[in-house]
Amino acid sequence: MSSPSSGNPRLPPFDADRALQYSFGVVHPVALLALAAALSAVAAPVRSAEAQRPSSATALPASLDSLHQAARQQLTQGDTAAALEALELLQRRAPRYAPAFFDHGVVLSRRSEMGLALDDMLRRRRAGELLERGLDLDPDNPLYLLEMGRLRLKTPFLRIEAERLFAKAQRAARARGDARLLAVVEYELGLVSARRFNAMRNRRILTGTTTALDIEAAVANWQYIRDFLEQRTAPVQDAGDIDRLKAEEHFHAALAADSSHAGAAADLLGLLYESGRTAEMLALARTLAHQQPAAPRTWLAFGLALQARDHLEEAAVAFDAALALVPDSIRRQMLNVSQWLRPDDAVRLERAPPAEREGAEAAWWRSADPLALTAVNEARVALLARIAYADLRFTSEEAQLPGWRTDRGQVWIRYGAPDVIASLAPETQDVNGAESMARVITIWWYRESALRFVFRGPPAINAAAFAGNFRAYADNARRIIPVSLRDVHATMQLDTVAIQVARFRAASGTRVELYAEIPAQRMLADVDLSPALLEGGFAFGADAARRAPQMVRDSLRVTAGPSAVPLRRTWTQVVPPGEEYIYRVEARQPDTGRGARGDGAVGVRPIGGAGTFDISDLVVADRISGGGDGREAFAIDANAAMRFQARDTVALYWETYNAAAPASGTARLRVRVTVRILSLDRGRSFSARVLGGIADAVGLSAVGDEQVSLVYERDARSLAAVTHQLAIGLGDAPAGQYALSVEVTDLSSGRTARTERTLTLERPAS
Amino acid sequence: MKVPRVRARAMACALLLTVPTLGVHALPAQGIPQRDAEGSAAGNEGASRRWPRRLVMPVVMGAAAALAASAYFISNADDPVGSCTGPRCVLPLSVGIGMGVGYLMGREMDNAHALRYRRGAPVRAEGQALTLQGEPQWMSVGARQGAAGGGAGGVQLFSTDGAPKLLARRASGIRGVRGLDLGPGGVAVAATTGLYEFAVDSALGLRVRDGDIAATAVLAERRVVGIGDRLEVAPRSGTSDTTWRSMRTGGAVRAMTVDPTGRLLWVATDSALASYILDGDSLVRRASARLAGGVRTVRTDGPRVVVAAGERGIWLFDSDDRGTPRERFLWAGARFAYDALITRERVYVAGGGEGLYVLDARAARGTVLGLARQVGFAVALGEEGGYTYVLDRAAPAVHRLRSDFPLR
Repeated sequence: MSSPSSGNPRLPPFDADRALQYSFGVVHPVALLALAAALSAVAAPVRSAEAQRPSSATALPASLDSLHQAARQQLTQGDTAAALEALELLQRRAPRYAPAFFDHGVVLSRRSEMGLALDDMLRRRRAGELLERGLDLDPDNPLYLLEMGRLRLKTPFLRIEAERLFAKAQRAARARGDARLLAVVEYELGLVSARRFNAMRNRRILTGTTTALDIEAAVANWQYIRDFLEQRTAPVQDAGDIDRLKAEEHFHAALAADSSHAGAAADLLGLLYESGRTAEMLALARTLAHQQPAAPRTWLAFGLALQARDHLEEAAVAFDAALALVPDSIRRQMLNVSQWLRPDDAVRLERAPPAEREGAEAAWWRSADPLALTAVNEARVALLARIAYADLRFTSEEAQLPGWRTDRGQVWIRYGAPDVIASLAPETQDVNGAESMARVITIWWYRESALRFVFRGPPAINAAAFAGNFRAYADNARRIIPVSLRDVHATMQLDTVAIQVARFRAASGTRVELYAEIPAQRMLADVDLSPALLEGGFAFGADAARRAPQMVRDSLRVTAGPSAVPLRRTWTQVVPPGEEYIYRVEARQPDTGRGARGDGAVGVRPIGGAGTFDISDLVVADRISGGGDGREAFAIDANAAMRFQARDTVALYWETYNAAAPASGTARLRVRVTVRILSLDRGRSFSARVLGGIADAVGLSAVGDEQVSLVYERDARSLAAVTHQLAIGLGDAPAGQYALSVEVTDLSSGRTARTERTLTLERPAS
Repeated sequence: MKVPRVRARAMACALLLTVPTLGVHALPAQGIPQRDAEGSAAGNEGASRRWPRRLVMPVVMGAAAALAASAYFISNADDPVGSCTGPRCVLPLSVGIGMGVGYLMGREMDNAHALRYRRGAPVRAEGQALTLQGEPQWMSVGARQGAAGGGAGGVQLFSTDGAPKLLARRASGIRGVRGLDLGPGGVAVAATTGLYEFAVDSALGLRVRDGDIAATAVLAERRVVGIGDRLEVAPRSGTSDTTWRSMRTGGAVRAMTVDPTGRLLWVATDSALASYILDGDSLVRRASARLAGGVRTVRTDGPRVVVAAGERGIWLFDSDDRGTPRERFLWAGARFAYDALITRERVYVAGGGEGLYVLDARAARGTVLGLARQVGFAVALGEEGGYTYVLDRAAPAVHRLRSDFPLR
């Protein structure tokens, strides 16, 4: 049997702001540092309490006082064994000197972990005896009562006793007028209620004959969770509300006693956020952030409040301030892009050389930014807000983990807030299920993606881990959906800018034309401003530069409301071939914050290089007017989305280059335009889809090899560049996707060039 | 021989469970911070009428247990098997356990009541309600219409000449709404993106001023806005002048209102409450008083001005004819004062989830007359024609209450 004073060298620091330190990953430092932190933190409250002790409990001859100081010095230096020996010696020589027992008890208490392990139980028992002895000698010392309460918290069945001790410590601290200690006690009392609230909030009761959640079925079948929540459970109104109120009262009281108490600040702000009282949270966070300029959790909470109130630019500043306050290693972990990548990609990124990794991370953040038109990267702010929330709400002292590193925190950071959160009362029937017995079940359900996660944790402790096979499920989910920013996009009502890119040969290089269709009709449909403003932005640049190309901005006054129409815009760039270029087109309605975005990459190859017969990209348009030898002679109203309806006319434009010159000087070109059905849209009718599928399979319908071709020949006098224009009526073609290809053969040289687009024929609105 | 001993033990247990209901009901709840002097304000006579649930519930639960036990005896009274199966044991034991459980339930109910009504006795505020959409946070009430807005629901106009009815919706999608000002011609919306004006009878509105507008009001028929630490006056209508005249206030403008005469403007900044008049095209500061931040709204009924300042509470000022404010009291009883309003003898305070506080407007210090929780999450207030309108963010809804509803 191990001695109660030996064994686990980890020593959580003795500090009123323990949660802060847990949060930022210093729970498991080397023993020396932890002991030093513990002692330095103990010293101040002890001195404060000692000053008010009865003299019989504090009077100590000089020789023994030096022994006590030596013990404390040894603890500071990390020599725990020597310190404990010194304290034991002190106890024997001065059996009525309370601090010797208290210090010894605190050290043992800190070295014991929660649970029913024999080693820890023995250590806790010994710590309890020492603290009891200290209390016998110095009754009603609030610090001793506080420590005794903390010790009791580590024993699952003595949590009510812990609360009683804290309440007693509260009265004693008040009586002694020790504001700092009172704040610590109020904080502990607040945590007791907050833990209960955390366990009770979102509580649902099982209805009907349902007795328990089938974890395996929940993993295997998404419909099970949906049906379980909708049909077999009923929410309990105001569950945990009283505990929330109590916790708030205690945290407020802690801050009233000591406004620098970072733990109380963070937990109170977390409660306010949880209650949806973000205006209150913001007002309080603003005050506390200035009172606690060096508390990273407070600044994280401030950022979260600002983000919740849509002050995104200020939120970004607050988050940066918080990140500046945490150690470098923690900051890197928090901002590590790998956590939002698929596992394989994350491994590749981790192994990449630093410069390449840095570039890839910057590109990821750029890509995640919903709108470069705004001054702030909304995705970054949202992801930091998720980290802040996870830190505030899931940090568990008992589990010794910062919230953003817990299972719940990781899921929250990856996918945001679930649509449904439900907690179920602890299981009491399954006596054989050690894992499930007396554990609170928490379910998170994301409707749109059908993702679901189930966590299990002890009641009255803010800790939970994946239940059953949900850890493996979460790994698989990450492979499919590494991160979701749907909440960000939903807030901004982010729409899509359709872009069609076409490449033509230019006098020097390649001319790239981008045709964009901004969905102004959707962005402005219910905006009742006249006129409304629409800001636009266009960026184009070589991807090799690894930095965001400069965005050219402009703004337009447009008609809003039901009569708003899509806005079509065209940009032309002449670039040297041989590189890949990235482009981005954005639009934003500043009054509503709604945005739309389209982006992509286009590789630019030499067109018609070395005099070979070649063809440009095909431009798909609604209308093409004009005509002549060059591109400039045509006015093209491109259909950027390449979406049409039955009976529409599809206008096509393309160019061919370097036709061979026969003796007559006029080239002869044969053009073949082919329309091939890729898939048919049979609508939502189940019967239509089934019948259509059968018909396709047996060859009764057009899908597959069915295609329509149009072939014609034409003369071309301008051999270097020949412009082509064609209009095709779609008639009553069925809705679906079509491949439209153009193949041009130079009959003189026999060479052929080909280009293709995919069109969508939409179903008529019913 | 063993049967009586077991029965005696059972009786002792029942007795032990019953004792707390009789003896310890006066003890404070464990660890709950006690109310301070301000919190236990006068006017809590309603609370004294409430029977402590820790006394009521043991009786109820004891009776329920007795009823349940009697059902057991109907079939088994003459057939006792083993210890404590007869009426003389089962009945007291059941009643005792029932009372014990009832006591614990009642104690929790009392704790909840104490927490919810820590600063005021419960009063019933009943009236009509109109359900709204979205999550409105601001409200402005006029003679015939009211406007509630903010969030995804836009600005929703409702009638105020009877039970509120939804009239129209304006400003849909405008983000960052920070205040509304309903005038005879329409509603002005102050937002982080600018100042907008919407006519009541027209669907289309106009952005009339860019910038992060904190508050707006109409003073002597001229639109005034607060932007940062500046007040700006709109150019005179019907002229070619397009310049907004500006003056600095010395602190970030948070709220403003015009007194009933329409000639005196009250502006609350982070640090002061000040009165202004319009002299030509310029604002002239008349007087001021110190504030300590957190301001959300300022309202006046003429001689009195009330400032709602979030967690700091509310300030009530008396004002003379020249617009010189004199602080009467600061009341910080609500956890968070979203809005405040003076109606004759009362000051109403929108206390968010706590409900609607009713304070005595005649008292020299903050005196709570009651707390109405039926209005939900009260975030904004308005008064018109003897009725007080309370905006409930959670429902969301507008409640229309008589401004002098009885404090029962």
